[in-house]
Amino acid sequence: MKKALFVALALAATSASAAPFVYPAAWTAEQNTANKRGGELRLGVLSDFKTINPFTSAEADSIPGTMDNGTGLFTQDPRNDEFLPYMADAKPVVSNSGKRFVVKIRQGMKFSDGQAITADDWITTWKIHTDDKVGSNSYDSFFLNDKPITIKKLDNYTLQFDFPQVSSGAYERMSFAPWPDHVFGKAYREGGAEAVKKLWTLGTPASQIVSPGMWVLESFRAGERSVFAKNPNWGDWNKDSRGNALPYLDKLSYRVTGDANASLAAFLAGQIDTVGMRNADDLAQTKRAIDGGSLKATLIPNVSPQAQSSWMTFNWNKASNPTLQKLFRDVRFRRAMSHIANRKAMVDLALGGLGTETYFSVYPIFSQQIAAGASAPKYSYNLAQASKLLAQIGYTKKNAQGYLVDKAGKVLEFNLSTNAGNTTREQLGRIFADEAKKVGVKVNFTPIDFNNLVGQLTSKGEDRPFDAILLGLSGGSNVWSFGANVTPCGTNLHSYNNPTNGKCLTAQESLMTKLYYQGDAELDDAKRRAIGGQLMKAEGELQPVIYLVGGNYHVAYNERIGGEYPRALMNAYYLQRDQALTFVK
Amino acid sequence: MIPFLLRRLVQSIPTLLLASLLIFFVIQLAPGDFLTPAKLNPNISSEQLAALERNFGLDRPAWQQYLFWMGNMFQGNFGLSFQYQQPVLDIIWPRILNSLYLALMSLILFYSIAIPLGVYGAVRQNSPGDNAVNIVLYFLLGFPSFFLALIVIYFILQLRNATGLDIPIGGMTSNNFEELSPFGQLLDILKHLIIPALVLAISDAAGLTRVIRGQMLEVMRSDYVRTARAKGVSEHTAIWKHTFRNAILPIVAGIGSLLPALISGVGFLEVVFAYPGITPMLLTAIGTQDLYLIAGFTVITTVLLIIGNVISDILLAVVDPRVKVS
Amino acid sequence: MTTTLPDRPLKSAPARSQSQFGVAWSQFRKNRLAKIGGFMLILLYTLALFAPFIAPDGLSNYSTSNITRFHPPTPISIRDPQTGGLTRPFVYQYGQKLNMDTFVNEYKPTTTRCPIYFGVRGDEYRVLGLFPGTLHLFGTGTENPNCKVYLFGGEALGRDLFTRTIYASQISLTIGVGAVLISTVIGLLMGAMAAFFGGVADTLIMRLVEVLAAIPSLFLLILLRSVFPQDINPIFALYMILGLLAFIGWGGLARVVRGQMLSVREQDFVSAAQALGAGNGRIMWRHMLPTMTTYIIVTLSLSIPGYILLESGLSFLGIGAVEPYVSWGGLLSQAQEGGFASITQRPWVLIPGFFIVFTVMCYQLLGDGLRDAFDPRKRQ
Repeated sequence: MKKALFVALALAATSASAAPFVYPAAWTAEQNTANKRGGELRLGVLSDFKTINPFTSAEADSIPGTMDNGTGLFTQDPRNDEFLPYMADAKPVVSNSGKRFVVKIRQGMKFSDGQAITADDWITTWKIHTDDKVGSNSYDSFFLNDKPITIKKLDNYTLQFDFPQVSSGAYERMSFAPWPDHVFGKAYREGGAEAVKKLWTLGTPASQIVSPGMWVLESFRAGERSVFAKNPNWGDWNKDSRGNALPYLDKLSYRVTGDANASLAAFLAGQIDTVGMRNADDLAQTKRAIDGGSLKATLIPNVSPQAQSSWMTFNWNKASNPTLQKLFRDVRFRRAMSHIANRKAMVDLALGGLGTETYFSVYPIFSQQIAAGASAPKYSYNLAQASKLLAQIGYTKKNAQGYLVDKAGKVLEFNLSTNAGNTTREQLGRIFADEAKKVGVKVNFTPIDFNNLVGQLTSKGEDRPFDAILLGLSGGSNVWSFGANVTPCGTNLHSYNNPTNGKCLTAQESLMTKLYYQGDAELDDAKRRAIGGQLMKAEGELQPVIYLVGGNYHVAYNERIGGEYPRALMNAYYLQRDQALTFVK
Repeated sequence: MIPFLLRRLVQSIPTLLLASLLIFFVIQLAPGDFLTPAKLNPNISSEQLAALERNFGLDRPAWQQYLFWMGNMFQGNFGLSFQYQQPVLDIIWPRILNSLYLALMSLILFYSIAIPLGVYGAVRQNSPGDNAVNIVLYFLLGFPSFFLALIVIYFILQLRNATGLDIPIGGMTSNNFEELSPFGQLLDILKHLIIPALVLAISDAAGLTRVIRGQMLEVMRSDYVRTARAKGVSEHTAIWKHTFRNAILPIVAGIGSLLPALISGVGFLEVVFAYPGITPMLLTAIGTQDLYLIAGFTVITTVLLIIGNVISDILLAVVDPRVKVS
Repeated sequence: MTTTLPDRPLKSAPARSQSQFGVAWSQFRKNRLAKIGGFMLILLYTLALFAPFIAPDGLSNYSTSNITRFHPPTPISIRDPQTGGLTRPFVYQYGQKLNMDTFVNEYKPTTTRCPIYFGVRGDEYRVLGLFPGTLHLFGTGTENPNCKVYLFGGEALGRDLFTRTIYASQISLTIGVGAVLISTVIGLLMGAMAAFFGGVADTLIMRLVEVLAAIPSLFLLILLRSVFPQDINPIFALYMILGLLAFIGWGGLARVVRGQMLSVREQDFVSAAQALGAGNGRIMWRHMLPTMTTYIIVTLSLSIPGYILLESGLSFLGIGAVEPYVSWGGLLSQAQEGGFASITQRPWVLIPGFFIVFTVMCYQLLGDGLRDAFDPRKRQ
């Protein structure tokens, strides 16, 4: 009897030292007060998963991407975007003027196979990600300006990160998922990169898979379905506000639906619990099913803008065609092009009326940054103004077909391409070309092969092979919302001006490059956004890239699941819910 | 028999080489490669891209890549898929089997629709019934299968809502598949197969129905059938025993060569019904230029064609005593 | 591809070809379904030829201020609502608003009337790219640019679907015929060469046929298309697809031609010609190929619908006519992209699909009739 009591006390003592992470009650609109447990969250995915290996995975939706749900030293609070210690025990100790972070790891965390999660797991994960023979997609997130971030194990539960320079993205970069040293580290030490790549392919039995996060793979059927079970050890250190272990759910499943229409059909038939609403058509179909009584679901339209952009870029490096090069380098021309872009018609026609006009590289969803740049200039739809600007450049006369000509009688004309198969972009381009015709600019719009297009866009040199390209980007952070390889001169996606030497051509470009690095190194949120505001102003004046429109983010989910975010926290960045707090009613 | 098979094997080698060569270089000629999309990824640097290129062997000239691949193939190694980082054969084989199930199911339905209709058409040539069957079949044949599938899925959804029946609208298995008994699993798969297979069989039935009708007409007017009738055999015997058995000879013989066509023929339906067959995967592979996956698949379909032709020859010898395998 | 190809060439005696055609014609005329099919096809091709005249609007006309995205078909009234008397046919102009409760873009008729004129001046065009004109069979004139008649409704950008369907028929109806013609020529040549020269040429050609049969045609088409640059003139892109379709389709014919040639070569009339000193080319063209005439006619009419369907399948996969040009398959795949919304909210976008169905049906009926007519054993 005495002994039993002693054991119980000891257990209490260890669990006290390993304080769990408590999910704030405010993170969900619907408290699971009855502690309803079990059930399955059923999701759809467009294409089949390709691998289980976190080091070779390159997909947006992936098996390792699901298993790293509920990991990371820090996690962002959707209420205020601040980083909370998550797998870390507390906020890091910062020294060396913001470049060194010493992080204590939360104790008592275990992988799904029961092994403790310790500093070695982070070190191994970092080593494998940064081995270029492995070819990990995360490789570059361990480098800043080509200089490596180094990680050192101080003891079993303490890590030291050394950054080559101050970076606002430090917390994000430190928050990678730790993969088991006893699986990958062992293979890596014995067989190097090749051994790591051979691990965890789709042929590996699910029972051998080990997860640090909320979910662990339970079964996989190629081209059909993957099922994840909850990691039984994860609930030890993840509790809801009433102290119950998380997640409430037993299972999570992904069904491969192949295309977006099939996903919608599965959602309407009640076979999956939530689906992305692409446009007004999807909303109308869902609303119809709800009103008709065949589907019990919640539908929240226009939650926020999507975290993506669509834009047009003009090539400044066209040595073979000096007329066009001069034209594209003329800021008045680019402003005229922005005046031609009928963003309202684009939203109405290409996005079915539900969308947001954009004018800057910052996605409209990052509202705090957008607000900081409110004074930056916009060149909105105004054909008269466009004609005036084009007249200033020297295009005053029109020929018999109604196209503007220069003094030599040459028609103002250029090619615009986008990737074939993307209906929305094809429609945006069509609308732009047809509006341009109204002021007498001849735009030859052709959708071309995606790979070909990317090849043209990312080409370097004095004579790059395109006139203008319409494309979109997604991905980006709400900490510093400017692209690391978009904004600074000489980077890969600095698409408008990319000469061999990578030099800036205009004062604004140099200013934007300077502001980019300055903002990235600024740790104070408000100051960083102010720098971002200046950057947006320079960008607005220069109009290096003409930003067009973005779709809106809508939320739809089956009534059988609860635990979604309160309406104020939902957006295209944090999405609709935390899976840990989701439960089946 | 064995020398015959051996000879066919030797004859098939140049075809195999030619097919793989064609595909390999067509892929190489296309702009970009597997790594092109990575160039648009804001998180991947150019050094990293160069390293990946080396890893995949994409930095070497095409002919070297081909010879390397060819050499491996003769040892049964089809190379690694870029996307899956797994041997090509391991990925392709289950998909081909899945497609084969669907193809076989639709083949069975196909014959059980086309044969009675074809025989009917011949026996009652140009009757109102024959004409009606013609028009309906041609009407269905005219539907591009992706269009027909959309309409079918829509009506299934309506039917589900109206009746509450759990009619599958895509995929190959239900969510609770793993928990079912082996017989239950078989039933579950059949349930998922039947609708796409039926759509395919119905929309294609016109072709075979017409061929059978034509063959039947031809044989029915031949002397020996006329003789049989003159001898006073019943109408039933004249049609089924004397005519039909001879009329389907060329069709039976052709089954083998249908093998690869069948696998790719179910393609559009696999896409629309989210069926885990070979086509959806291959379309992605072509889109991402997963070189060895595409090339490996081509080799396999070529092998299937060769096997199919051999089966045809053997079948023909079995059903037609005048033909000898030699 | 699923067409009803006869599996072996039909036997015919070339010496009596003239009278044979006569017999076939009288047989064909007895087949009512085949006649209807043939007549409908003539109608469709006439429609395609005069597409710009018959269509009330230009191929790619729409407004960015007056949104007509998925405009419903406009009923044509001939009675004046006030007096109830007969009047010039007219349609109402529609107003549009996105209903934020149902998310359906709702169209309601306004009180503005758009009178319909026949033989009206409108959008400029060129028939066959040669003869310019502005005359349209019918239309609403140019007084009010927002006034338009939408017989088949509007499509995603608000362009008139009837106009686009009629223009699309030009592409859909010619691409099948063109591809079949080219592939027939290639098939004949290759088959004849294989049979005539034998040896290495024969082996090479037959291996190539096998290779083309082994690679599923859909994948081969996609792969081949990706080799060619996409930023080319849209019209040229069409010719290219036509060429590709032809390139993958000649194998079956070549095999049959070769077989037929080999058997004909041994026949007396060929030996006689050889004995009389006729050259290889002459024997091939004058004596051997004509034995294939009926087979070819029937094959042609039966494989065209297959190509029309294949082209629509390619459009579904995003390989087809390039904007602003479009084929029926392209229009249908745009409808398909809309998913169920295309069935419940705007069923008119499916109309181009029925043009495909109808055309394929007509070709099949015609081809069937021809086959029966040419085959002495199937005559009534």
